[in-house]
Amino acid sequence: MTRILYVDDEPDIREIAELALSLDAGLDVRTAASGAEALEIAGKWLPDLVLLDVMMPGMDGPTTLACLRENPATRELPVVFITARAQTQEMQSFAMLDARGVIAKPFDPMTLAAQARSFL
Amino acid sequence: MPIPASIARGPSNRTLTLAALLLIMLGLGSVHLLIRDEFADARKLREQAQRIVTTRTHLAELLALHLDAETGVRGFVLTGRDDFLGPYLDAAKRREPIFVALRGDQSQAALSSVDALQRLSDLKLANAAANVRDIRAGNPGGARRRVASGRGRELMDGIKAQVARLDAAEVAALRSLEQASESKRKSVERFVLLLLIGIAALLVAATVLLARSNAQRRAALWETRRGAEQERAMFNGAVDGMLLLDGRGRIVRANPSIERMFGYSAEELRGKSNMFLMAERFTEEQSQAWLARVGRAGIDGAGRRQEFLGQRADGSTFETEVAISRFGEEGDNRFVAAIRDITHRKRAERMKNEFVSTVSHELRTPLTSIGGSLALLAGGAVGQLDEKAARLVTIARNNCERLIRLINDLLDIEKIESGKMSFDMRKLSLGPLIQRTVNANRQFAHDLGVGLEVGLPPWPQCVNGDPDRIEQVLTNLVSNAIKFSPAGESVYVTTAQQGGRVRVEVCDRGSGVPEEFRDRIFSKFAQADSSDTRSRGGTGLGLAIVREIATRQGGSAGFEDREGGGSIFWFELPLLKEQPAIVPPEQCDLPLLLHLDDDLDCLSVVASAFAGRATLVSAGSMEEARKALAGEPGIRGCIVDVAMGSDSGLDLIPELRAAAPDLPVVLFTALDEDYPEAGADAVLVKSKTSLDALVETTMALVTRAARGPR
Repeated sequence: MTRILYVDDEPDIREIAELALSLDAGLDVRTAASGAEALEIAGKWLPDLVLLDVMMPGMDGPTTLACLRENPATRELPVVFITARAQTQEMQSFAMLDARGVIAKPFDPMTLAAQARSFL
Repeated sequence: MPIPASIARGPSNRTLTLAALLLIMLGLGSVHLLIRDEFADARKLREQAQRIVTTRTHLAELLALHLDAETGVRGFVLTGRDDFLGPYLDAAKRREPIFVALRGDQSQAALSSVDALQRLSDLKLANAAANVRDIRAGNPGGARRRVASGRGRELMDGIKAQVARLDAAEVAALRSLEQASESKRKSVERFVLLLLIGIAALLVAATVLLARSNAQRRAALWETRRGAEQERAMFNGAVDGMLLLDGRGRIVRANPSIERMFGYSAEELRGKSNMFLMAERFTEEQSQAWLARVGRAGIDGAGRRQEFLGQRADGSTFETEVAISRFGEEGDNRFVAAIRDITHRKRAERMKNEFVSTVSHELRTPLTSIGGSLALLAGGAVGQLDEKAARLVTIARNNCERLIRLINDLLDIEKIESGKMSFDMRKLSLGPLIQRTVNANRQFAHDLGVGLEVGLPPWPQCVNGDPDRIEQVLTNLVSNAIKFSPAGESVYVTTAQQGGRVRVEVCDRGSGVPEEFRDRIFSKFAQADSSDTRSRGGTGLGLAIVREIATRQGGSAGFEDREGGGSIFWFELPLLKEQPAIVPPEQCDLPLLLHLDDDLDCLSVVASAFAGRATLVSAGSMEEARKALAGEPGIRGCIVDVAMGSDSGLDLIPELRAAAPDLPVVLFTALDEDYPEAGADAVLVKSKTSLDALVETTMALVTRAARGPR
């Protein structure tokens, strides 16, 4: 099973993403409601891919990514940002942050799993 | 300020006044001539009168001499005393000079009368002389008989009568002279009177004209003064800061608003450069260049505006908007700068933008949930829905997507207006991008029963742009065209090149753009029919975004009616100048051809003609061609010009043949001649051959050569 961690502060979107990703029987999905929670789960669970919301209160997506990179256990972890309106400039800055890709919000839940798999 | 009509009439008044003065001068001139003539006539008259008087005096004298002589001779006859002979001797001596004088004064006609008088005088004196002789000879009887015969008296009467005739003639001449003089005097009098009347009339006219001209000047002066007062009132009373600048941009005057706005007094500002009030420091040259540029726009009433950061006397800065207008003659320009404090407006704009941004973002989050839930429901993620439920979920999904589109458009507009929209500019070929966008819209077109066709040229059309933004523009135009096309019709996407620009056209067969809507179709929230928003699912922002994005990339967007009904919506972008040098990845495997020509335009045109078919290595000289052949081992064919200044392309062919015997060589030359010995595979004359023929001939030779040796 491929392990995917979905991080978003919005519980509804978290739930939808979880449901959407679960449509792919080959994915094991867990969610986190904040950057801090994501760091904790990622450190222990070691997912194969992290889908990380950019705008979150407290620790935002880029900060969370930076923290993941500081931990030797999660340094190599593939991270894909989930963001509202993916602008070229933002995409470039995310690429510089060492993210593997960007998925634009609102995403299509029926194809989210396939999109996620394409980054693996 | 417009020139008062009275001033505009000024020159005609001046002309009239001048004409009147000229006429007066002419009148005075003719008076002078007349008086001169008159004086000459009077002198002549006086001379004639003088002559007449002299003649009459001579006649009277002559008569008196003869009377005295007769009396003397009678006394001598009676007394025999010699002293009585004095008058006779005197007459004999003096009459001759008198006759000479008389003759000199007389006309030819009158001379005969003088002659007759002299004859009588001669006879008279002869008669007297005979009497004297008789007395002296002691024959008083003979003398007395002669006296008694009455001959002497008779002669004397004859003299009297002749003198009276001559005198009468002189009197008559004098009278006619007087009459002529009188009539001349009267006519001169009349003429002078008329002339005086004329001059008086002219003087009156000139005076009236001058008075009118003065009145007009006074009126114009008053109007100018009033205009100046108005302008001063407007200048001083304006809420905006107003500066009057000289040609070099130095402050001549500043209004009270400027003083309030910047904290300087008008006196402190006088003579300073206008840039003194700006936070950014520019050189005087930059300031003048800017004034000239902005002023040029302003003179047409366009009033170009520019935003600046103003700096107050206390060093604090604030946002301003400056509009410049120019006035005065070329070379003596002055400028009026209107400066507006836009701090509040800018703050409001920022607040609005932040509000729009926040609201849009906050709206998107719940919409992601709603859209995601509906998509999962519709996709059967939680089990199959029955038909009615599926229909309702579809309706909800469509409207959710519409809301998302609206928010995206709002965000785009906000980004464009706040200058936050970034463009990732790169060199790109439009063809693949158009194809991709059209393919992405095929399903949508199919759902509405509308066909979707693309017509693109085989060569690449390369521009400098942001691919995502161009795709956004094209998606907007294509989806609009599909939405507004009736089922069964087709939307056609094509490109056209003109004057260094490429135009992407999206042609539909919709109902066209209503007349009253044409002006504002590219404005925000503009839709021809407000019900369109609902029926077509549009946001009314799409075309505003299209135009903004096209403009920001150096292009433009517009529309026109399509022949046969419908519209053509288009956007234009500047083509890259180095078009042929761009080889898109999909064309890397095209055959490489060498083109030798000293005409750089020809090189460029031919390279464009081969776009999509072959990649051309252009050489402008024999030297470049040799270098290219040495450096590019993969060259599959050559196009060679013959006459290139002092060189001939024909000289290159043996070298080509030596290196690669089977390399196709096409002579493409302006000289219409046969080249049997040249060893070329084809000879095409520039003026007789189309570029298509050149491409086809060359490509056929290249393909044949690629299949195997000849």
